Amino acid sequence: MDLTFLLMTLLKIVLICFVFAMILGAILTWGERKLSAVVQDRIGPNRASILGVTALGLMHPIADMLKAFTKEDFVPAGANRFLFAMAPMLAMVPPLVVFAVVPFGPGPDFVIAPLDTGVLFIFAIGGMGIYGATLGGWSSNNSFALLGSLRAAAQMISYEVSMGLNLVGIFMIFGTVSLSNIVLGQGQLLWGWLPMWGIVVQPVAFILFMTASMAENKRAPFDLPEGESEILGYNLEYSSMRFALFFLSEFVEIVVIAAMAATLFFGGWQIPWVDPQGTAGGWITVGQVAAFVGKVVFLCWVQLIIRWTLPRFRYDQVMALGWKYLLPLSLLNIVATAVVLAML
Amino acid sequence: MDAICEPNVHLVEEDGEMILNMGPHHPSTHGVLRMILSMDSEVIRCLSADLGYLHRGIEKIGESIPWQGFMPYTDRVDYLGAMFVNHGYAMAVERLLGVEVPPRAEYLRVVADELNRIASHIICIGSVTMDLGAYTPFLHGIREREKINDIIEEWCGARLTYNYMRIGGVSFDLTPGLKIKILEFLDGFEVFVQEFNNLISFNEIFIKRCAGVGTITPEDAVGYGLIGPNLRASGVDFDVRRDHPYGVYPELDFDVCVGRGIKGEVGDVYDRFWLRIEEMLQSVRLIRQAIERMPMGPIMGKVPKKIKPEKGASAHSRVEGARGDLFTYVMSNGTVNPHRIHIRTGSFNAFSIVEKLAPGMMIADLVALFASLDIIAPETDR
Amino acid sequence: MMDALTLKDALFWAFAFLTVGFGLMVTFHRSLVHAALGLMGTLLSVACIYGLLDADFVAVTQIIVYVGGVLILFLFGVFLTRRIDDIEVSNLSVNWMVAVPAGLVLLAVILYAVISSPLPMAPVDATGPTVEGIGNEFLSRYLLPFEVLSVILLAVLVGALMMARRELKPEERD
Repeated sequence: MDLTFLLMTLLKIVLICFVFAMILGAILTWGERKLSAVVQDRIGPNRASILGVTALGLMHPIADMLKAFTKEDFVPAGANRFLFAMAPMLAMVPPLVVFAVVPFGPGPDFVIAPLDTGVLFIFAIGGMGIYGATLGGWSSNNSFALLGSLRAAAQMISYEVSMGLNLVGIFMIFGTVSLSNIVLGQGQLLWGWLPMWGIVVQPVAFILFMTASMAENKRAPFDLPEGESEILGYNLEYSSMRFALFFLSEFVEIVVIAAMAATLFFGGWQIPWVDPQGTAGGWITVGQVAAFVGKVVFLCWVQLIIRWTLPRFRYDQVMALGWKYLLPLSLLNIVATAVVLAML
Repeated sequence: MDAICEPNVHLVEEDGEMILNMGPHHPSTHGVLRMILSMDSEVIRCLSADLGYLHRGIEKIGESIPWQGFMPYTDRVDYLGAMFVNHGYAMAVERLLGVEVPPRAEYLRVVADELNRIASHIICIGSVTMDLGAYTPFLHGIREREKINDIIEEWCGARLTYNYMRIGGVSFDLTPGLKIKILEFLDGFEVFVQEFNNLISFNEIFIKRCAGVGTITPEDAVGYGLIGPNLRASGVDFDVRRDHPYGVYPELDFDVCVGRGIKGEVGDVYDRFWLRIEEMLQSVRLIRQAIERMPMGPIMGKVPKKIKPEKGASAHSRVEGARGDLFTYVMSNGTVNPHRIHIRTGSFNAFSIVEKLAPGMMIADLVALFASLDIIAPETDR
Repeated sequence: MMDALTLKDALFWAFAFLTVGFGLMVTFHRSLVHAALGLMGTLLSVACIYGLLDADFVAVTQIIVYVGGVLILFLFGVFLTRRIDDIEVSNLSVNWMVAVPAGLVLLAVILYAVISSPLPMAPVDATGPTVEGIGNEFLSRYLLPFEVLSVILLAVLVGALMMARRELKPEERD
């Protein structure tokens, strides 16, 4: 059990964290630029090519990576060198670790660690993402970056609360915090025909969750820590691969949010009305994994399109939204769910 | 908050405050301007505006070159509204010389001016949205502005520094087919404004960010010498085109838009933003009328080859530019070179009112205010 | 099975050393931010030890509450009071004559307690889901302490708000 188990786990880590998450993140950097180009009536990236193959600009992430590796690694004067180097890693690692508990398909083979505390684990690790932004901004010895890191810390802490509370309704309905079991629970049918997906039973929670998690990820309309036209962001002093790590971590976090939303609200690997217990095997399992990936890609797309549509909030408005609207709404949602569950 | 705080130009931090040096290279100063902010975390305690980074001595240059030769320099005064400075200078010298401008040239000037006004206002409202984090509306605006640039390029050969007007007329007539192109652009432009409004102007977040922010009272607007859309947005009904008519504007039918505080207070950021959208639609009206009524005829008046006004003669002109009441003063010393040229532009005053409005604002509001004032860096310094 | 046990043991010792090492960093580092980071290391290592003991709920809660919440607030405080990091507070130089004996006494007491008390080595039931059990216990057997705790936390929250509010008053005239 031991050696094969270890090797299998390592393989899964490589496949899920590095192949799936990193590559999807890298493709998303292209996707964001291409999508924004489509939204804004432009052509978008289309130049980088390998031997004449441009593949709609998909070579750009590779070119970007090369560029990031070869650029000067600049450390500003007066920066705290140790923390300055630490921060990008602290930003990059948590989103990758989160994938440990996300079930990509039915059964324990498609998840790295089928933790019983799945969602809580995600919150624990996700909450550590704050460190990258805050320490990065603080250690750069730059007033703008410091403002960015303060904004990041305040915003991420505030939204973590309502993000967690939004999911309590889901926990109550499915009676578990394990992601695998939540997905299994979503295979049930309501009134014999409606898949009991999270978005069906908890529509309000889904909207609140997406809002809170986009704020958590510091993306528009909550991109104040970066706020490129105001304070230029906590990663202002970063260059080369260190900046690329911050940049990539944001996109990996998009994948994380999409994966979480897909798992909790869109039935994870469930294909409606097909093999809800995930025991079929064969091509159906392949289809289920593909369904999960498809849902993730769709939710990534949703996040990208939101970013290119909305303007940015102001700092106090973000705080007010988080504490005065999202938090009471999620509490109300919990109460309403409890009442309905008690009546049933 | 009526006393303006002492500028802290030495970047020395006192207790509890943080000095933020915003500019000269900052994405939302739109050029090289500098603001030194003393901050209480996110809230601005005091702001000191610093300019002079783009001073090129254009007015002084004018004293060493012939009268006609100054025209390309006027383009450089305001790179988004070159046509107006062209117009103002040409008109001032025409008044100095007593030259009659043919009516066709006057109509061409109106079309050129108003096209330029649309292009300039697009940049302004686009940068308001961009500074509030919405990039898409800005680029949609740029797309429309590109069409104007194409039209003007076909017309006079330049896309930004037009050098279109001449003392006594204009340099080129409309090329064949350009009239239809302009009319087609105008039709598309009205659709664009609708789309733009649906995308951003009526967006809840955008309104929340703009309404009631950076309110300039009418008294302040007059007191600080604001002009143009900034002044009108504060509810002061003044437009040079109507109140000090020039060219053929008296014959054309258009409304002067005034800020009404439709989402917040009169004179807030949203009013300035909305007023420019309304003005663009008025410009569309003006261009349509001017193209319709344009007579045939020459495009240059009778101007002597060598302009040599008599010594001591002076003249001035006022033009409603994209940034407002553009005042040009010229004086002759009897030679082929001007004795003095002065151009009074709006951005300098608009920049100075930032010092008054900033204390107590959040930094994100400052960015919105700054963008809504439509400050063009070279215009402040010339 | 032997293999896994030794691996577990090795991990335990690694995390134990990390805990102590980071703890020393908290104590002795001159920079407050580094000390806070050391605290993060300590808390994470302890969480890992919890995880090794199959107490995954406790481990996760430890990270959520301490690493994700409390420590960030520490850092927030350090950042906001800007020059606090420039002041080189040397833990070695302040009151060491009192601190060292006090520490030694505390160490002795803890050591005595650990050695003298018979720690029951109960077999760990690693199969059952812990979260459900903990939740049930909270809402049945330990309902009163749980509720009292939440009331205390609420009081703390309101109290903190009151204090922060009073400090903000002069700013509010804007």
